Amino acid sequence: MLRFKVRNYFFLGFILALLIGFHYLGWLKFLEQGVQAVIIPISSKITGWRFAFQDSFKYVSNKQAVMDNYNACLEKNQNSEVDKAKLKVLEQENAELKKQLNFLSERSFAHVMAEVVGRNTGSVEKMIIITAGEEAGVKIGQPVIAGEGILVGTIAKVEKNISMVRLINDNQSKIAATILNKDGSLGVVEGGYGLSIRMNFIPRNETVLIGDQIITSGMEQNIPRGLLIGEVAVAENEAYQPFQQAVLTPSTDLSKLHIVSILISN
Amino acid sequence: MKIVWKVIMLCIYVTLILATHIFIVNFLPYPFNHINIIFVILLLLLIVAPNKKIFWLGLVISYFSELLSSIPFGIGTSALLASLLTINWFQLHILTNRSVYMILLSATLGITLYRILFILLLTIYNYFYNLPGLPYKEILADTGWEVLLSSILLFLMYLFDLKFLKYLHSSARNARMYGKNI
Repeated sequence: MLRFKVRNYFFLGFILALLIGFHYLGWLKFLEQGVQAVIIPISSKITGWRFAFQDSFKYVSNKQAVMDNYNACLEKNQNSEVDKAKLKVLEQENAELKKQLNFLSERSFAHVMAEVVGRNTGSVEKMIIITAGEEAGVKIGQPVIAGEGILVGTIAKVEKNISMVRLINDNQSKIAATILNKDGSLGVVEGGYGLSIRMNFIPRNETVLIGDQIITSGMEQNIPRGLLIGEVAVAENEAYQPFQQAVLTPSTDLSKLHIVSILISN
Repeated sequence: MKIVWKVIMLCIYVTLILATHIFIVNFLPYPFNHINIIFVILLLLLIVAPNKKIFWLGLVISYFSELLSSIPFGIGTSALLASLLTINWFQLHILTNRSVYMILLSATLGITLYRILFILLLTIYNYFYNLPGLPYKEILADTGWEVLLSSILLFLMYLFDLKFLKYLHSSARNARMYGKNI
């Protein structure tokens, strides 16, 4: 063991304080960007491996659940043949409606695509690291989507070439949302420590049904209306509560994000 | 030339430890992704080859690892250094026996202390910036896994070192038994 002298404690503390101070002043940006340039490819590679092995881990750790899911998928597949025919008719109608909608309101999003290269999913934070930063026009608060307009989170921290995305299941995430029910109920979607996603502040007199879809309401400056968040899994309307709330199922698996887009302006 | 070589070696050590940390956090399934490999390696080095350079190595590694975190900068590094220094003092004055069980106890104490300091600093930060409270119940569960798995890993690594890498001990024996002034 080391016998540390008092001056060593002070020296170590002094250097630590200097490092923290210089970091916040931005004087170490050059060094930090160099380190990130080394670390990000390593993190990206390891994340790639995780995607490749993730299902194998799940299979080994919970074989029964995987088998149940597989059987459920088989059953769904049989039913989907009937739905396919209906879907074709709807697709034709949809294409026509789209043409009309595009003609009526031209609404285009400027966006930046980015790769997910890491994640921090401890109990304190639910974040992913993506390969787009200040240089690409990314700013704090901008929405991040996956697939065809599914909101997965918002930008929480921006560096030169990378950004941290606060996922919608993070404890500090709050998104103004609306339910696609007959009342068009408004509320706030909040993360539940990574374990669940809840929509709070829904007026008690409005009807919320299981399966109702939830989209962004457009009441926030950076987040446009219409980004899909999820659907209602449980609706809770307690007599002693001023508002009702709903537990949501996200529209995409937040642990399997690989490519995302940041809506850099509306 | 010697200094250049030392800098290259330091870069390699730091990159390897960071890569291992990223691998554990990103790749391993729950609960193994909670192993605190940075603390385990630093504590192991402190036990088998005590040297003041380990604290500087800890400072550098922790500083770099914080670049990939959204936790307010400085909290992780401060907690790591404070807990390493405390556990070093403990091993010098209280846990003076060098049996594997005492190493296990040191690891448990060290990682618990690190996590307590980390959460304490984060709570203070959240309080002053009016951020929502932390999910203490989940943190407690994660910390339990972290302490358990990291301590077991350090115990196994120390045991491995004791059985197969005995050359490390001869150089460190005096320092461990009588302390080393720096």
